[in-house]
Amino acid sequence: MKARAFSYVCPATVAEALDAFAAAGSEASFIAGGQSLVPALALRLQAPECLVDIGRIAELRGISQDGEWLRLGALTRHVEVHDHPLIAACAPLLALAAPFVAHPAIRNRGTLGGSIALADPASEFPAMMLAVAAEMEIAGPAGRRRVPATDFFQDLYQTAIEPGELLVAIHIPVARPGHRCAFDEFARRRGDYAIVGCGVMLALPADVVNEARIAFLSVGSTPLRARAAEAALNGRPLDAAAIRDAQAALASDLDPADDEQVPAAMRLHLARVLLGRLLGKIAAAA
Amino acid sequence: MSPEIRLSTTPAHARHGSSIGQPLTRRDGALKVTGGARYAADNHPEGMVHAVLATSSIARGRVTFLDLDAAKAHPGVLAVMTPANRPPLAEDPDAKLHPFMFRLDLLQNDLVRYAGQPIAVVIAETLEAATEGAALLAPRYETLPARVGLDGDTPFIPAAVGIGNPAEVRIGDVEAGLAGAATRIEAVYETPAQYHNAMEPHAIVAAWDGDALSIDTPSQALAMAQGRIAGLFGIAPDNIHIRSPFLGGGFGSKGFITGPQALGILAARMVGRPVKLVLRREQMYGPVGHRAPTRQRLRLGVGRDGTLTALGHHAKTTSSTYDDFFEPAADVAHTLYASPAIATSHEAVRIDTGTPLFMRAPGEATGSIALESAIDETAWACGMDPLAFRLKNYAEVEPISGKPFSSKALRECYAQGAERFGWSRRPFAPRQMRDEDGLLVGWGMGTATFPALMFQAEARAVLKRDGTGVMESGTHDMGQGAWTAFAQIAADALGLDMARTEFRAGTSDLPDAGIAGGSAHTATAGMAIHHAGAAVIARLADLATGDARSPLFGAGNAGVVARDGRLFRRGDESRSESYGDILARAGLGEIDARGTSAADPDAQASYAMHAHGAVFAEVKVDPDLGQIRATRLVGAFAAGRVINSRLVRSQYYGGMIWGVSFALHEQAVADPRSGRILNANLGEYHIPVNADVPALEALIVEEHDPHVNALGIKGVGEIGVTGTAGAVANAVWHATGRRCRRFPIRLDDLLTGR
Amino acid sequence: MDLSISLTVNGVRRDVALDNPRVTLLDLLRERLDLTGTKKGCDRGQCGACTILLDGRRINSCLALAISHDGADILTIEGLAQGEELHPVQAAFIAHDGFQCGFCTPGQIMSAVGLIREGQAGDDPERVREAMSGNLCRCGAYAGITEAVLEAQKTLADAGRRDAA
Repeated sequence: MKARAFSYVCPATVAEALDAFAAAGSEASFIAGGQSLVPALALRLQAPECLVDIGRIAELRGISQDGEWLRLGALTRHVEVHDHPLIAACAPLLALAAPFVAHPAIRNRGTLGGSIALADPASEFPAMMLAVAAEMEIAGPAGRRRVPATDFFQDLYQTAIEPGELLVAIHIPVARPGHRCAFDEFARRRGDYAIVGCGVMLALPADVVNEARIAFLSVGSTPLRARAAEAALNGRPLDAAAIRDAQAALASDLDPADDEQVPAAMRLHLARVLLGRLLGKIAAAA
Repeated sequence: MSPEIRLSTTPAHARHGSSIGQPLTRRDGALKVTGGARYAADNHPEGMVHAVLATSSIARGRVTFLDLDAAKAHPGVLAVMTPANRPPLAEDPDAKLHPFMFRLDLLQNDLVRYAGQPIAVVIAETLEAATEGAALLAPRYETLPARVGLDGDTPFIPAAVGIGNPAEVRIGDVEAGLAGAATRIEAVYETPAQYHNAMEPHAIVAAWDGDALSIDTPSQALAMAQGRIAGLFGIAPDNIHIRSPFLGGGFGSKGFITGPQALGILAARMVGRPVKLVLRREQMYGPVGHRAPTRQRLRLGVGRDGTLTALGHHAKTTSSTYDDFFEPAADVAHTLYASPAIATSHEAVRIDTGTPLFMRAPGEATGSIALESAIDETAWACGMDPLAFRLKNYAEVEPISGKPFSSKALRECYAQGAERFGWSRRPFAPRQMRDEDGLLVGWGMGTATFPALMFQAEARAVLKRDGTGVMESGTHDMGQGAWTAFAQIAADALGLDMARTEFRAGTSDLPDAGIAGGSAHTATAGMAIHHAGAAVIARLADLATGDARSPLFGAGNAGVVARDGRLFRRGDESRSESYGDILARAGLGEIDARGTSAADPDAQASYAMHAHGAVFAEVKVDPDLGQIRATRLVGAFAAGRVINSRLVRSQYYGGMIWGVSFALHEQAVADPRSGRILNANLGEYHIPVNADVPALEALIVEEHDPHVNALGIKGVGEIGVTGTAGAVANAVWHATGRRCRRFPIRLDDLLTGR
Repeated sequence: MDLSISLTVNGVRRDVALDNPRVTLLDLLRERLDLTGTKKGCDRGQCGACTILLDGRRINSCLALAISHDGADILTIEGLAQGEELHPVQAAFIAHDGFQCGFCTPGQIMSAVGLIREGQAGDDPERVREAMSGNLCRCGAYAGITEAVLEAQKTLADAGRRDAA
């Protein structure tokens, strides 16, 4: 085993960042807010030879609206998602989920891009990308591309980002007036990773559901979209029967594993309770 | 040299007569809120280097390889200490000369006997280099199957539990009592392994100067630490100077010098420079003790009139393969409830774990949650209100010994707590109450108890010609408020106000203050201080009453009262003289005297001595999610004389939060295959966060105890855990109708079988 | 590789040459700048004992690489009081006995100062508890902590000093 020669670069542009990463080879890591990477380094879970600090790249900052799309730079901090008026107006589901992300001190440093690139299945924002139909803008040596959230999360901590590529922004379709959303999660202790969490986004024009998108966290190896439950809602009024059907449909959507916290069957039960409450809340408000 | 501790000298409240009893704010408060309180790891002597432990990832076997070359080659690494090159010790770390001596892992061989055992120490110029060096060791092992959990090996009956308590105790005939009972309850409860997790990780800064050793390390027992280190290193105790002015929490885990602390001293010897060694959080789940898991079987018999006919309490626990500590969980049944027949017994298995140890209310906490649950189950089975059932079986004398209590205001605790909580409005049957959000609401109660112990301590008192006084006793402040409470006792003992009393503590060169443990520190060191003060006042009185020039001449000792820096002739307040004048006339700059304290064997033979309390809990349970929140706790405690109610209330709150944690949160999970603790971090080992803590009330119930010691002090540090854990568990039952007997209560315990 | 950074710590500019990019802000403060008031309880963002203010916001200093924070403005527990005059949060912690062992206290206090600046908890104890839940206290001083935060917040608001906090 050789001693790690751990180097550090702090590029000013995306292009420089990609070059720096390429120069370091496969043993490099990008670092943004560092809220997950720094403890991983301390625990020797990761031992990159080079850290490419993207924290000072201006292009990665900022929240802006461009017509039908909201653009969030990858360096958008959790606290900005929590506080920013554009988020509240255009992507209210993210604002609802933000208070559940860890604790305030973490939210002050952690970045949206970092959270999504890490793709922890127990994190709030990756799952909510599915619910808001986000597209991830990825820059790489070969240029830029946009990947829909449904194609982005591939396996445990595996995303569409290839080594050497960088997530630069998140694009979210602006919520329209008829859209309704709700978020909740359930944890054993306040501020902990959820045992189950769920975000719902749906359109309710003329009292009939369409475009339902339901995303779960902490129910599998990736953030999960509950398509059968969505199908059970689409085209129907949001009434008790539809809600019951959506809850029932989760059996085919979710296949959680047993773990230390709860047995699989219990997790499915909790997911159903959570979904039922969220849909009930939307129905009551509508 | 001892550190200068700049304590606040002005009390926040005006003194009316005695300092004892004043709810003063903490004298170390300003230091603690400004970052000025110096904890062990905050020290940085000139030339200091860093040591980092490499610990075993297996629980049983042998280390076969360490990549020493890689570690040594890392820039900044100075040395790697292994069994092959560890400096010699004067005493075998596996020697056990008395029950208070615990075996240590000090690289004596290549054997691994628990996961997380230190297997090497890397010493480097920087913390980062030492950490990297330890990672580069990449150990390889010969691994044997780990023995894990309460069924990990063949059980046996330990020779003793706790420290020297018999493993089996009985009065009367439990089997006959059960056979003749109208109602019988038998239930099995399980409690998990728990880790102290003081916020301050164990840390040491050690510096050698020849055979003299200077140490900054947190210790709940400075003189014992000094003695232990002296034995290990073959040097005189006086050559060891330990500073421990502030502990960042102890809870029992800093009662004895642990292996990692001794390894820090060895590392300093090895490199000939001052060394700092601080445990990483995950390294606190092995070599620094824990509360062992238990499985407890309770058997209760009750006659038609609701009185107990039999109480059987059996506890199974675990200990390490290489040392003895057995959680005395069943002993709590000795004192709380009257029964003509009581039998307590213990058995244990040896598993591949670090040795368990005292942890806040050792035995009482584990035993209490089982006993209080069983009492609740029994009351329900008898159709009786849980409080009425407890009153029906109130112990007027200590059941196991037949001795009268030195004092026992438990009835008042029940009454005041119940009144404050509103217990009389509790529906008898479970699952009857809901809140406005549809959550199930339940109310439960538990009885709290903890013995009033006394150890041995010494103090030295000084009176100075300038009218000030000094009190010295090497007491330990781990959060209970030693800097404040002992200064209050010292001021009264010297007949001075707080501003003119200097209290010195927290270093090993001061008189031995015994142990900050067993909730006995205030009583023990407080009595030594009390006696030292009385002794120095007696010397002063001799000077005055024997001197014809003094207005007190001829008064005799019994005829003099010390107050506000003066001696007064009893019965004639017009005749008095200041301390300074007495000393000045005698040509003395200062006088001193020592005082000691110990339990009074006569009183112990005649009386059972315990603190008591009653805890009432409200929980709310989400009926669909199984989510439990403790929402309201009222505790009422009687623990003799209160030195400072502000500090005492905080101790009760802390204990009650530990009780909530015991019932609902904390648990170490060992991998059944590897024996590793799977949740060895503060993210997954759940201790309550602020939002988990309910509205708390702690009522201080007046109690005068003329026997326990002259100051009438019992202990307050641990009792809050007891009673509370059971009260919460019983409230969960009352909310849901579901009796959970495995702790902490999990949401799936409430949801399964729906 | 240039590993020198410059920070403003408690109002004082500090130029630091790092020998290793792994150095966290916490270790920098404690081991190299002799500011040991900030505590290390877990070194992985799970306990909050290392909370400081970075550019006015509370963060866990154990999760911040020093090298990433060139030019940053840092406030630690040592920089909170004005000479002998305690900050209202510090005074309230003493008055409400919001600590026992004191080890988590610097982090609790810095977190409380950050919370008050965020200005979102109002006078609702439940929201204060929630917002202080990233700071563990094993002694169990939470009741006093919550009371202290509420009182200090009121003191600061009354004095119209929120921005000066």
